[in-house]
Amino acid sequence: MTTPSTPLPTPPRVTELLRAWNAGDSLASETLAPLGSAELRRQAKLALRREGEGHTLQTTALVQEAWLRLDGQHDASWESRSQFFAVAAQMMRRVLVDHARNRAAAKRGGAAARVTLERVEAVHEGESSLDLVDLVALDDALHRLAALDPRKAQLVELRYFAGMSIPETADALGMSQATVGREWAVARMWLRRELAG
Amino acid sequence: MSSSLTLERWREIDTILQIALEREPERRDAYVREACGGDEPLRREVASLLAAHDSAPGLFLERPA
Repeated sequence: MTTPSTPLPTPPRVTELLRAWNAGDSLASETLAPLGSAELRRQAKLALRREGEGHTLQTTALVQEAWLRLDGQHDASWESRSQFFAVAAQMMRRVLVDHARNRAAAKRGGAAARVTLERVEAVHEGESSLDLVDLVALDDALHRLAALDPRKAQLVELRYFAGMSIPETADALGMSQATVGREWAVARMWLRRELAG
Repeated sequence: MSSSLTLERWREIDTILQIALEREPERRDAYVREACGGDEPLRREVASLLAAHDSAPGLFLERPA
């Protein structure tokens, strides 16, 4: 899947394309693919910055894998651009977490009965060790959070795995920015306590 | 370490936390005590979560994955 640099369609156009794609229009799919890829590539770059040295995933491979999974969701009825990115964030999470789990298993010769924890190293100097996040543990904690509070779990997915800003997240979830800010703060508290325990 | 919270309990905790965050830090404890109305387990739960907020307000999860 090669991607020429195409300018992103404006939001109403994306919604049209999503509906057409959902209805099985293959032309819509072709137009959406560059949009999806460009956005996913941007997200993948953010994600891979966190992997530090020696990461094994290339940006393109990550994007392609996420895109393939998205494409497999063809039957889902996507009504809006924001829903599209919500699904993309979910796919980014799965790709990154699966990668983390696979690497942990590989380190143990593939015979792991339990998954070892893998740390994502901060690449910026000055970040404290408090900022290291264990992707596998986070994923497990997010599943537990989703059982308690699906909205917060999705918010974390968008903010952390998709790197969306508070305004973008507010738009995606149909919430005010103030609410997103508060929900985010509480979600982080809960996750922080879970990951510390 | 995960606490087994009921959905209802979580909503209570969540509500109190969100309002507590709107208060000045020095007024938070008083608000929490009042809001928990003598329910000590509830107050402890809220307090431990607020501690997670205060202890590392910095970059936890703030940089995308």
